[in-house]
Amino acid sequence: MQPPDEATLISQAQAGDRAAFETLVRMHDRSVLRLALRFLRTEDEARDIYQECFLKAYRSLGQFRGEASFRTWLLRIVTTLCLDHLRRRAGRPDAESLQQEAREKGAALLDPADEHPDRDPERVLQRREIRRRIATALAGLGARERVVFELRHYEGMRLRPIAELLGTTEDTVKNSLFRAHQHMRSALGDLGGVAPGLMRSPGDPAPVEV
Amino acid sequence: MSCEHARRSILLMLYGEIDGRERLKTETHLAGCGACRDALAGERRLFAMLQTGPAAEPTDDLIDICRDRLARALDAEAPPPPAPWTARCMEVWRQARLSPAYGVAMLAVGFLAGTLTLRASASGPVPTAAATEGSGTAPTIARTGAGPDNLPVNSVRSLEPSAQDGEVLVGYDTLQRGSLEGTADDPAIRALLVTTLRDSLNSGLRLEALDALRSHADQADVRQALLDALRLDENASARLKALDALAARAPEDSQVRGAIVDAMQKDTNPGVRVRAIDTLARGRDPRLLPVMERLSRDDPDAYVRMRSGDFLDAMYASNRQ
Repeated sequence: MQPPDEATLISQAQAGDRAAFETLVRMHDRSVLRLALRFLRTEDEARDIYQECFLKAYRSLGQFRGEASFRTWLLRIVTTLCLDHLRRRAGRPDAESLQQEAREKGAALLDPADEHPDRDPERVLQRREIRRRIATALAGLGARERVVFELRHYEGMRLRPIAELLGTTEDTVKNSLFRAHQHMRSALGDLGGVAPGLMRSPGDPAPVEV
Repeated sequence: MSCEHARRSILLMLYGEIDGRERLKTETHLAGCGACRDALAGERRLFAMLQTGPAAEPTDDLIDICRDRLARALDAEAPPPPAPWTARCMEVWRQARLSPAYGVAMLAVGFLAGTLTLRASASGPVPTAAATEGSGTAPTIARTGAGPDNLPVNSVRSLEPSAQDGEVLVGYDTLQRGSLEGTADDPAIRALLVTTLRDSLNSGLRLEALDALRSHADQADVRQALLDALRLDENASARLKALDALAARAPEDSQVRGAIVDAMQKDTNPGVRVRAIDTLARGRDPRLLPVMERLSRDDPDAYVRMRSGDFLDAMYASNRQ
């Protein structure tokens, strides 16, 4: 028997069929959890956001009208939750220690490249150190710049869908991406031959020494 | 075009986010501006470094934990209405498929039922057992077949309410536990490893099987299982290991080469796509040029675009020599 398509599952879930909702969860939850992990870096927080996202979706199913795809709708919910979470985290008195924890856990997340059997241990260590530095640089970005940069650079999402996800214009997203890149260039300028002086455009802030 | 404008366009160009006209204007500016060419080179180095950035692929275990927690939260969110015993039974079975905790509980029920039945039985296979829940009395187990003593129940296969009210038919499988030691040179061990790679739901076991089969891709059954893993395994690390195990066969095996070309273009994980590019780049096959051109222009991942660009640079440089 052919499994029901997504539109049918959505209709069934909206009519109160929990099994249909759980099927939808299974179709999309890996993307949702990956985004939460990417933004927050710690599994505990990502787990909480996963739960909050799908409970919110469950409660709001009646409001889903299909203007965007179900996946986009879910990603919008999880992105908004993560943005709020990052902003709350930045405003907390223990923000620095929380960020430090997120950086360390983020640097330790699974990287398939490190699992390669022929990988030289010294190179693995070097990669971890670079990963730690990148995690630190990412943690220094503002919440919106961080979300735009991660979605574009690491998730490979185009600028237009990012703008739709964030409910803003493509130009605004471009500006966030530029600011994020300037920050990353400055923060990582001393690694691997990225020369911040060369990369500076007229009007750019002076590079920050890390 | 001013240098300031060019620097912004360079970044968008590397992300594949500018149209052809803007790209042409940027390339024209780059041809006459050394500082912006240096900026482009620096930006490429930054992209290469960022490739090492924090990975965020959730593990299967984490997904399972999240699904389990969500299932329980949804129970609290909207409690299901009271249901007849058979419906509750089916609900438990349905949840068993979602929740490891329920799964373990159901397995325990099946194991207990099977053990009780088998202890009371003579030797011979036991395909099914029927359990009856009487009112106010302990459940009784009715034997419908015989099996060897102490044969463990492996899993509950099905759970169906029967026509008679209050009865349920529990179908379960039995399995004799055993162990085998040796290398993948042994066909029996190899067959078990191939079965693990093909059928196990546990990604950790599949990764172990891939490690053990790594140097046996010349065996037909292993080669086919590796090809299937590269194409279908949901775990990126497993696909990466399958690709590595097949890499040495790529020069002389067109089916392997085709699978790696597919992975290079279609794999959802950029790390796998990059490994596929690097594997195929060793062959310096000019037939790859159109695919590499497309990847260097259109792939959503910056590092994939850069590595395919590196291949093109190397090919064009060698053609010039």
